[in-house]
Amino acid sequence: MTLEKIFDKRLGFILLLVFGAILAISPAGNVQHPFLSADELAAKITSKSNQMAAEDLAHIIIDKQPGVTIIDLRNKSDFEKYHIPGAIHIPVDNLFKRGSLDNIDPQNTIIIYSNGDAHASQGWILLQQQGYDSFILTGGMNYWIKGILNPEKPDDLVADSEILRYQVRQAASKYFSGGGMVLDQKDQKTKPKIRKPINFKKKKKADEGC
Amino acid sequence: MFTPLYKFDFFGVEISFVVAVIIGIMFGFTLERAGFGDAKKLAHQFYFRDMTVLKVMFTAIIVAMIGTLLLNLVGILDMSLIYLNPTYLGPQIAGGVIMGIGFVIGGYCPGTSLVASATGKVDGFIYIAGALFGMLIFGETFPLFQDFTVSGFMGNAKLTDLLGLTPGVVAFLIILMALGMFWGAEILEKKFGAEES
Repeated sequence: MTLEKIFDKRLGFILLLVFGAILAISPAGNVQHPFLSADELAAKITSKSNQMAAEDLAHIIIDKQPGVTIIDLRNKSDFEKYHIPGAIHIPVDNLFKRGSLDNIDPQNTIIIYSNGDAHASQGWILLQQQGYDSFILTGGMNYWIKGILNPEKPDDLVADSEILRYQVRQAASKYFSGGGMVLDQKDQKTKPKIRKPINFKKKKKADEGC
Repeated sequence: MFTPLYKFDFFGVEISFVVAVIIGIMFGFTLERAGFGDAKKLAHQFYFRDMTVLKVMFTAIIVAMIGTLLLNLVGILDMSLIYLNPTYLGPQIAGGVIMGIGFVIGGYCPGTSLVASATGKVDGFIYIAGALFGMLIFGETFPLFQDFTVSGFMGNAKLTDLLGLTPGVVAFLIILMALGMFWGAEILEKKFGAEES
């Protein structure tokens, strides 16, 4: 028998049908990976792959990227004083409570922040345990205010990349302090748009194509 | 061992670039060997003379689909960590139409134009120059359609949610569809088959 005969088209058809039938009656695609082990959690924390820079978050908000949920973990009075535009308020203690995450789509890009990094790190682990993958805003609200709302010019002797990041912060600063401290999604549309001077590396997954 | 390896931090961003280059070279090599570096062969697709593109693409789709589902079934692959391109219905239809028109006119898709130029084909280089020029125009006029590019957002829309079926059943339906298309493609080839090439 020649190879052609053995690998007959009909054999291919039958094999595919068999595979299809097996898949159709199996739970394939719904098998969940168990929660991350302590090692895996630690690896994510040390590699900082669970963090998002304030500049990247600013970019996401200015671009009005859909599918993004920003969670403010601070207390109520802090949240009312100022919060990142579009953020929803879930104090870190409430993450333990049943039902507090019901309205959050786990498929979204979830970004959490507190004043510093500490509460956000706790929140991140709590969210992981409940099956939500999230990013911590690096430096929290402290850096957001310092870096994005009131960016300081870096020293003259810094790398070009740092100057580019400063320009991003400057542009973002104009956008976010354009008017009023509390913004919501509706207001954003009427705000003057500031053209971003440059593009920079985004924490965004690459698109695929032919 | 759990996959996707990158999401479980088996390697960092730098190594992921190396992996991407290796996969890219293998992809390009396979495309070239399948004859996808030839504009004539690719264009014949649209005249039903040579349905290789359809057969190869659908083969790739069902191989990847069966592979990922079987890996998930045995507990190696976590489906929830696979990156899905989010659906923006209107913009993606518009993009598909533009890409299709470009495909018929130029005889390549962006990937195969690179494959063609890697083998020294002049039309491949011209196609790439055209694509770069198009990117420049798009970049410069982007503010005009910025709102359109994010319209019709549907998140990670999946057939399983749309049809309310399990992934396995959807996979079975897609396999049936692919088999139907392979069969139909052969009939079309017999009817319109190219005399030349």
